[in-house]
Amino acid sequence: MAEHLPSRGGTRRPAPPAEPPQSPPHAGGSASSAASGHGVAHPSPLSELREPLVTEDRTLHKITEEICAPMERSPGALWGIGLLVAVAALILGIGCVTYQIATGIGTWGLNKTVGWAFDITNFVFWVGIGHAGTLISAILFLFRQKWRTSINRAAEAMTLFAVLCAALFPIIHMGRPWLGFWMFPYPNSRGSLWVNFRSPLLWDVFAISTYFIVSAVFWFIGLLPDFATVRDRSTGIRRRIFTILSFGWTGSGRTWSRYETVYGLLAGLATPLVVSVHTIVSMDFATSLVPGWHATVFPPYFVAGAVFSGFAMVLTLMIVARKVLKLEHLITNRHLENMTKIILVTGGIVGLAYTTELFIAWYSGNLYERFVFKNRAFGPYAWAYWTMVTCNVGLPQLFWWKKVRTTPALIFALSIVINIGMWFERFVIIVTSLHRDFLPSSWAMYKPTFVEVGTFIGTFGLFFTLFLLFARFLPAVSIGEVKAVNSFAKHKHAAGARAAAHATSSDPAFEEPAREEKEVIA
Amino acid sequence: MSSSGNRRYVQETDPTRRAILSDRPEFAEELPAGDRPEDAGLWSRRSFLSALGLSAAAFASACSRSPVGHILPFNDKPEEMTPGVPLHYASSCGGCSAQCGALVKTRDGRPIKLEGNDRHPLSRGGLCAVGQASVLSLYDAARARGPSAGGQGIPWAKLDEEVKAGLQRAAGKGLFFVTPPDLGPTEESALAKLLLAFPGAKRVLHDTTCTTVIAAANATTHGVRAVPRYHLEKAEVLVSLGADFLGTWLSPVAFTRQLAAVRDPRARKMARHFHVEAKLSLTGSNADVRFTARPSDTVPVLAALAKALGVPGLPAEVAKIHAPELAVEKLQRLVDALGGAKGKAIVLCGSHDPAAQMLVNRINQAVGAYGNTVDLDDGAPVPEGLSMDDLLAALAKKEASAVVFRGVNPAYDHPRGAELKDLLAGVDLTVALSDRRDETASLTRLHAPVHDPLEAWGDTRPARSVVGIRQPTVQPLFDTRSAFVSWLRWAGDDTGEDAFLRSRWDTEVFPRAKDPPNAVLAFWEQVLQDGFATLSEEPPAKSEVRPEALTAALQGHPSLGARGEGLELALYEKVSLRDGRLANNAWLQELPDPISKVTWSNYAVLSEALAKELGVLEGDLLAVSARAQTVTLPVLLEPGVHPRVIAIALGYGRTAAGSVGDGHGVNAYVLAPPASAGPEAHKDAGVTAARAGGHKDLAKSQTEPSQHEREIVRETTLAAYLADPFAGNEKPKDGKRHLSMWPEQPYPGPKWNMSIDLSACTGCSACVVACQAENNIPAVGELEVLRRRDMAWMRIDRYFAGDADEPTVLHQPVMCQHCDNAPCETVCPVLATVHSSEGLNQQVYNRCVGTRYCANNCPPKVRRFNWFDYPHEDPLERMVLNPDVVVRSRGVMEKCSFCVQRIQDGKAKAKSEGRPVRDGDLQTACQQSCPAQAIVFGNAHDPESRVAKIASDERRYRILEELNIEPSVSYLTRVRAEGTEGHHG
Repeated sequence: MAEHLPSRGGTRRPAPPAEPPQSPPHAGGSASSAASGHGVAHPSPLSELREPLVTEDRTLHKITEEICAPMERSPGALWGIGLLVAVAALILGIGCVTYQIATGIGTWGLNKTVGWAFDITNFVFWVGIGHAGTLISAILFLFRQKWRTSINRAAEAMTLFAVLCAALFPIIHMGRPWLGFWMFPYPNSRGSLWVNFRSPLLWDVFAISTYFIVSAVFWFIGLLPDFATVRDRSTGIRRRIFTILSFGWTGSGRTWSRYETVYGLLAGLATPLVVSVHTIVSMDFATSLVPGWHATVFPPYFVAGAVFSGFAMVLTLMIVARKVLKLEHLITNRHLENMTKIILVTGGIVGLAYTTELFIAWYSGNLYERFVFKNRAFGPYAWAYWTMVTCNVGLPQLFWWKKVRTTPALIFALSIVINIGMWFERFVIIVTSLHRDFLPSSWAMYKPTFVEVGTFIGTFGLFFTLFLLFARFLPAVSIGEVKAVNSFAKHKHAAGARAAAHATSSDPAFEEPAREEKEVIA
Repeated sequence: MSSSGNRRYVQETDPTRRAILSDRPEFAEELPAGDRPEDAGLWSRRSFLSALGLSAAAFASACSRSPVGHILPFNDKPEEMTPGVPLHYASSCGGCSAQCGALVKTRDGRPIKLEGNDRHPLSRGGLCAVGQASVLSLYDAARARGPSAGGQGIPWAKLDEEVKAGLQRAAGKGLFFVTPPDLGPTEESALAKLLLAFPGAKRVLHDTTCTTVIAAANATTHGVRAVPRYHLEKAEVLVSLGADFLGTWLSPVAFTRQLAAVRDPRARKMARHFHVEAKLSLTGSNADVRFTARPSDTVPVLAALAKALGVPGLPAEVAKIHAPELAVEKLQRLVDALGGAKGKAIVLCGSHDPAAQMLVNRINQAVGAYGNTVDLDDGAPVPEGLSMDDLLAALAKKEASAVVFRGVNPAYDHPRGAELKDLLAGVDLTVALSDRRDETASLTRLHAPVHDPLEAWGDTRPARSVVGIRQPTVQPLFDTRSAFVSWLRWAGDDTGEDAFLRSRWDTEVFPRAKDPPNAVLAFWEQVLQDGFATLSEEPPAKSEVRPEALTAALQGHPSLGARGEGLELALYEKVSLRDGRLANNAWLQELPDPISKVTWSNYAVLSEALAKELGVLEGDLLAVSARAQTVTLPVLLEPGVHPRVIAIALGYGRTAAGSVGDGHGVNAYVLAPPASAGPEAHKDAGVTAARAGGHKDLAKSQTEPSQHEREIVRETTLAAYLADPFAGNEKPKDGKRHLSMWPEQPYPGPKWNMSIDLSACTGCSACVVACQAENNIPAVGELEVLRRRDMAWMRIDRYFAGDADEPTVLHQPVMCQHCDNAPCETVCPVLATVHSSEGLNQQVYNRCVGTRYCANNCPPKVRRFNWFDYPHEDPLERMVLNPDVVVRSRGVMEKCSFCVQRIQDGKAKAKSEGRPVRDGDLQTACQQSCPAQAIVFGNAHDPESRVAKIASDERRYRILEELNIEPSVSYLTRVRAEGTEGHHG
């Protein structure tokens, strides 16, 4: 299979069909260690042109130790404070949502003209963030981008949590959320009364739920080898939990083989979803006839925007996480730089979309369309529009400079800027289109209430609570996959591996995956 | 039996039909109305049961039939009442002094809606917003529950005793009865009895309208104390000086109907309407030519008109009146128009100044209006009486020992009302007859609560030849009593309410009736069915004409002296609250003003120039002082206001109206000139205004004034229309239709369409309240309107065009357009909004989950969301709910249904008569109430229907047609008789 994939330079070595696992870290680590030899000068990278993906010399055992460390030591004060803040925000959000559901949508600032504002803005914002994870896991996987290995786990987790946050809004934005299950087509005693398959909101239900389920399964399958590693390292209740989670992982060649197949299939399955979810979300707007919404550019524009914002959020999280979890050598500057490049590209697409919208509004000669864009740029919400343009098109241009691309502090700052900008993009699309549409008599202004802001803060609380718990209780970096890109592993790894395999093939806790795509790019 | 049985058997075994039936029993298209035709002539189970029930009832009730003297509550079922079937009573509206004819719709013994009575000779089928809303006031929790003394409830017997004793004590020592001028003939005669019983008792007329002033002016100029019956439908030129006759002045419903008759461009000629006023009124907004002038310019303008038109015998003082501020060329246009339409012109004036009204009469005489457009012989007679100022003077001199107020509230609506508190303190007997303990009633010791007009017998006399009847439509809700019964009791007469009224009608009205049936009972029944009787009256006896009265009225008139440049006040009534009588009515409070679109409050209306001068912005609080009184209220900027004028609406700032009306706005009556004609009224008011600091946002239902060249309201001039009937409109593109994604929807049966003639529509907003009453639409309160969440299914959009000094105003009623390609229908995920086979866009409340996507995707934004649970829990208020329309719960979307309950009702009626639905079988609530008959509704598939005929009208267009939404509502281009051609801006 590998042979059919595009070669990115260097010599390609065919991988054995089921490459035997390498050293089990705790038991037979010595085998591989011995093979490469500790203290031996770092072997020259297989390609001098490429920066190594793991910048420090690490044994496989050491990698396992490092990644599992946050799970095994008691959490630091920083984590505790973080969780406290996140849970506080979550409680605020729960309070606001409870009050809103008990009292009515009237607790929000919406009105007869602006029927959606914070709710759907937040929904699209979170769905957009949820894009990076699966894109990194699935699409970059299929394109054999090795550098994804150290960030894909956390990015996928982020995706799931973001989609959870997003999924909250379609439910709570309903006037009668307790009847939300009517959105699902199920046989019922009403006739049977079905749902409206013409409605983009219904497509949303399918798109989001499919995306969430596939992403969750993909994430979980990817976790299986690491669950087994943790299982084997732990005792007591944790061991029992991870025994269940690891689905009886044995680490045998056959297990790996099955695993590889499933992972590859899921990657293939998830890839179209990355595109479809935001395409369908964009159709909520594009298929309507509200000027400012009704635009054919929306699907690509939204997907690019989603990737843009998703990568920004991954950067925000990773830059903090690699510092806190001391994983700078695994999540390296090169990773960050690669991501900034993607941001640069998708940001460019977003900027192009903005311009296209403006051009088409002018070129169409449509009175309402023209007005909406004039109103966006110079109307009462101009401040939001220009915030959006500055954050999404202006400031990200700094990434053209390598210095900016490789300075984590700057990247961090810019990633926050992009997140703000992308939130405003959705706000601008939704609110400025609705608030002044066809009949001037209905024009109105929208102002959020405390409840809406509180709910939005609450979703951040939910997101970070889940993420912090994830970082504490699950391996935040894929242990198996990182080992495959360890420069150590590339060094004579075949010989060492074979030796180790013979020695330890009965050990179930193999953790060096033998995925074919992990073959070395020399 | 066997044949139909066989047929049924066959049908039920037919698998397709059975599948359809079993699949959708609850979605049956037709109402089960009457028996199936094939059952006719046979004893079906149903007809057998009916006969059985009828005969049983006949046996049970045949033995005795006791005379019944009361309206019976529903548990004693009257024979004409069928549960679920409304019963209409022809009656007279009690909302204001216009006394229009009304049909009171009752369900299960309670009135739920007022509709216009199309047989009534004056109102002819329409009913205004106030009339529509007055049904809610019946169920007002703030109404007094029974008689009281000093706030403590007492029985009627005790109250009568006390009043009679008090009247005895006061006889000959200052006994005053304060009433409005329009009590109605029966109450007048009861009051006359009382006045006769207590010689020396004086009648005081308290009037917030200019009825008494007009009647007095006519007494001096033409010898008849009456308000003339105006015939605008005979006019070719109308000139109005501040008379808001389409909105608030005298009888707006009748005037709107009359004007619509001469303003139809299809007749290829239209009456020309000129309007001079200080602040844009509803009438001014509909005028062809509108000039802005200060209130103090009224008399100079009239004098100039009189001089230019060569009115004979003007007193010398008229020549001394200084020249009007109104530009000469504008004045000349008025003169030319009036002079060129002798016998077909009319001048109306809304001023309370007797001099102005006398001048108007003289001008009308000169242009030949009297006998043509102004019929004084058929005018509504107005009794004579003292004025409130006379009473205040008597009170101040301690010459009053008994004061009885009936249906008036001078403590609130008289400029010196505040003095009443101290003045009444020393009076021996103070009684108030009113529906609640209002500002005045709370100053009197005794309170004799009166029936709501819907509970009482009564009559009206809107013209000399027309007597309207008022029928009780519900058992009185509280321990109240008709005012005329109180007069009778206090005069020592024990006649019952209906007996007295009947005897008066039998002896006074019947003999004078025009073409009556030969029996008095038949006449009475006819009156009850028609709601009125027409009299053949001799012309009234004329008293001596007194031309010197004008001279006297001009003595000391400010128009004679030097013209001041100070600020002036223009106090006006709003279409909704009028004089503030119904201030506790939430429907009226929430009705947007047709011009400002503000609800729940009054405000100081300024021109932008004056606002700049005063340094205020919209919403800033302004302290306005006049006559040593100050009120503080927010500023509203509006085009069409004279730059030296501050306009403030009356009727707000009630303090004892009830929980709904109290505390909204401020009472501007304190700034008004005293009602008398004395020199006091002419004193310079010394109006000043200053920024008070602070801000109050005004709850508007519409904030954007311009339609941004979108041609949503299309207009043209008569000249352009005559040259090209498509003027102002687009020519249709020879039947070409846009492409559609969806298959064309078949409409096998009727297809409901609506058409609204923007030329006829005045924006009076009667339809808005009618819709609210019909469809159980909640009022949401000022704060929610401020948040732009008003629930009105039907709204009137108002756009200004032209410049700020002389704006043109466009009114456009907008409700759900029932689009054939409805954008709302495709986006609802749960199919809660669907299309019916008759072209209705239907909202299924039960199915709605409230995503609001439909509202976002609705181009005219007519959908309304239930943001909260709007309570209908008040046991009294909820009695007004229409049982045919579901009350919506929180979280669901709602909107205009084209009154689907009325459609079904009309269809059922047609079906039970075994015929297809015809035009006129059903009317939507808005259509029914429209005084201008601007709204036409019907079956577009019926080539005989009016709406089908309008489909080919050159003026017809549909809003946002370019979106291919195919609305079922169409509009007809507005045509102005004169003026510049449609500036859109």
